[in-house]
Amino acid sequence: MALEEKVMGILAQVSGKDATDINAEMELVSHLGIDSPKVLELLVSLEEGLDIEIEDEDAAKMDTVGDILSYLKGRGLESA
Amino acid sequence: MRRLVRHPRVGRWIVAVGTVFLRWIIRFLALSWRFEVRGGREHLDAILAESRPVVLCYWHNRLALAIPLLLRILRPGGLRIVLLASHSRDGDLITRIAKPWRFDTVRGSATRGGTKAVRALYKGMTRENLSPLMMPDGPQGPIYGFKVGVAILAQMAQAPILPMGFAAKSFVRIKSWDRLILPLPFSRIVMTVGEPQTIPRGLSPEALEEERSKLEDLLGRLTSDAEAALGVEDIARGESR
Repeated sequence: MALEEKVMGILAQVSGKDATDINAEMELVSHLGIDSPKVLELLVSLEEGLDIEIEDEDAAKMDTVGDILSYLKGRGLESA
Repeated sequence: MRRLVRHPRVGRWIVAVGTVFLRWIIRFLALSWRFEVRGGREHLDAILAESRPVVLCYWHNRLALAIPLLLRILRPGGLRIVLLASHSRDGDLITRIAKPWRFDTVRGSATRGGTKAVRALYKGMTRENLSPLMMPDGPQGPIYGFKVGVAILAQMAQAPILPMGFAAKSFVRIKSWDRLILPLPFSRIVMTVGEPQTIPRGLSPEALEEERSKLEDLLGRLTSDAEAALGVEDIARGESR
């Protein structure tokens, strides 16, 4: 499965939105309603779904869906 | 002499000996304390019988008062405990002291390495059946303020929170942010246990805040009940939020 597809699926599950309605420009808090409690759920879902560990410093820089994708691609993840 | 103490090998030796010494002091104190579960023992027994993860909660300044519970009830009862230890030297010490008693530790805190530590606790709960021992007003207060992260952890893992109150009859208080209570040898310690609380998934931020506030009140009430059983009063209560 492509990385983007997998990430959109995780975001859809956490935010309760449809995966097809989510795009890279969307902000996690204002567009997807991913507030502090849900951020924790999102990070755990990403870690478990992609078998990675995310540092707090990296997580703090993720404001948009695109930030998450860039971070994961920066770690060499292209497919999941 | 100072140079000798700073030598890495000598330093490690001092820490190792100090840890063993501290463990013996803790063991002696814990054996000398007269520990009693005054209310809610059935909740504790039910948790042990189920042998599934639970978030054990009580106020940070009662840290030492839970030692008899850990050593006399939870460990023999087969509950696998995980402690959250900070990245500081205190955290190092807690990790060293806890290890021989077979308590797992996760390094981090709500203020530093926070979400990673909570994520690690979540994984420990869901993958290894570990039950975290949480002091929800720690590591730096405000005193008697229940941090929402603990509720979120329980919510995510769908594990019940077991609220607990502790009080000691004779003790000294340390001048720390939480006015830490250290029971004197042979002191009576009373524990009260509340009904396990489950936080449903999918709550709105307002509903989650309501749950957090309910838990804060519950821990306060259980602690007051334990104090009332011993006829002691908490001088730090007036300093709370």
